[in-house]
Amino acid sequence: MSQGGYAVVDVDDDAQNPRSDGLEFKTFLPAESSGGPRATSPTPPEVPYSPFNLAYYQTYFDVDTNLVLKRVGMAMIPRPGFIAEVCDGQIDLYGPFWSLTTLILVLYITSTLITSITQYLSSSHASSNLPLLSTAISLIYFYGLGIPALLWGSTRWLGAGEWGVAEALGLYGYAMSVYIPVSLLCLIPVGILRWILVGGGAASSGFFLVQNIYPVLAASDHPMTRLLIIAVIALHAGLGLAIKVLFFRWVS
Amino acid sequence: MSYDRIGTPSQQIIQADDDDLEALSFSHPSASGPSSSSPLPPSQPAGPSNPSGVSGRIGQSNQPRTERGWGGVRTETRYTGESTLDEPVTATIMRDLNSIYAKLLQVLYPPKGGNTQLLRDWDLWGPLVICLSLAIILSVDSPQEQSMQVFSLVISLITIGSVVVTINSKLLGGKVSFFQSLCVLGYAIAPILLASIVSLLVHNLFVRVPVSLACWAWSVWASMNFFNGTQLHEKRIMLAVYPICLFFFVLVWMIIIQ
Repeated sequence: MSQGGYAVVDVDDDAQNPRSDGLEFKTFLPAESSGGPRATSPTPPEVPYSPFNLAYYQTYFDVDTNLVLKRVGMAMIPRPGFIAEVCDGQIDLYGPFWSLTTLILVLYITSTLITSITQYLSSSHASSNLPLLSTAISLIYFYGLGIPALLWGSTRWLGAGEWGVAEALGLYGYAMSVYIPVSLLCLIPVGILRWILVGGGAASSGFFLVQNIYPVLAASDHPMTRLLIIAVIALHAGLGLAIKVLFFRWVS
Repeated sequence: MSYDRIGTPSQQIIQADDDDLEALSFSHPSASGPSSSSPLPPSQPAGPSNPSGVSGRIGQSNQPRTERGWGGVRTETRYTGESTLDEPVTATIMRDLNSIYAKLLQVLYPPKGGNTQLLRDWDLWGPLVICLSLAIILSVDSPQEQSMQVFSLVISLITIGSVVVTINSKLLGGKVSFFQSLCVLGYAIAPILLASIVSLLVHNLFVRVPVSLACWAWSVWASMNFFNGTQLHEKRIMLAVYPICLFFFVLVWMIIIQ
């Protein structure tokens, strides 16, 4: 900023010297000071649980590109045992979060493109459709992040704590990834085809969710937990309907 | 752990931030090995006798400087040729604008062998100016009743988007200083600002779409240069770059569909 005059500059390069004698700065934050060298190590070490420690979450982002692509691809095939077989028991959170974000973007792009084309063909200048972006963000993030957290909380409350919240979030996020190609295909301006596509996507991802969540719920002794699967199915059907009605309602 | 001993002032060293120290060599990934950060040899205290090993944040390396210890913290002052106390305000503003311009050039068109230290002295003024201009231009271009909504949406998108992208690359194990990454991402939005200006002036769709896409590619390329220097693993570079592509594409799409 102040390149003229006197400027006080901290000399950071000598501070790297590991001087053993003398006063040293000691941090009391766990693992923050050594976060740099740890970050590049292939297997993240055990870090103490703390929701404010970034190094704790790095275990959920220990993936590479091919692994994420493979998991997203496998999630489109509704099969049980997704976490145990495809993810080797360790779910990541990169794929789920960016699947949801990509889905938001794709829904926004396709729906605005459909509206623009429709308006262009009918040569009417209606208002632009920015509210769709806010709608997509709230709908997808609420369903993809809020519902699994609620589901996990209710299973813990009912005493069936066989899974962590990361597994719930991961299952929902990967399940939603099937909507990305579906909404791209929904650019085809045939009304009945859009219903079929969105319905097929909802059925596929719903089947995926049920097959992966039901074993967790069935492992509990409490009879109420099995009924939660009905709520899961109902909410998922509601989401499919909402996507169809909100984003693909313009039929040319 | 060693609070019990107090040495001479030259031995009282505060450990600096890890992120800032590890070489963040901008746009020169080949020179970004761990050895290139060139810390001083442990036995050699820094001083005027060894000027090449010390890399400060501001100014050139051939300027006179003095060092002293203030309560155990070693600081360094440099005289850069003129006093800033009694200079006109225009000179101060022009200096800051020049600094913003130099950083913009460094991000968007990195010169070969340029001043890689320039971006360690991050600022958020340039990103703020770019973000506000983009929001204003997009809201001017949008329909009357939606302009406020567009304005707030663009501002919040840019702010939250760059924070999320930065946190994502930190979680993937990249060595990024948080605010430095925010600074670089903010400056990398500048080509998108250019695209929005072009599409404000030219309403033809066949001009607007190619220009916007080209500016999008430029922005992504500029930020990729930065993230190449963060020592991310080879297989994870795409995972860090993909969210940036998404983030910039939303902005470009908002320009295209206006």
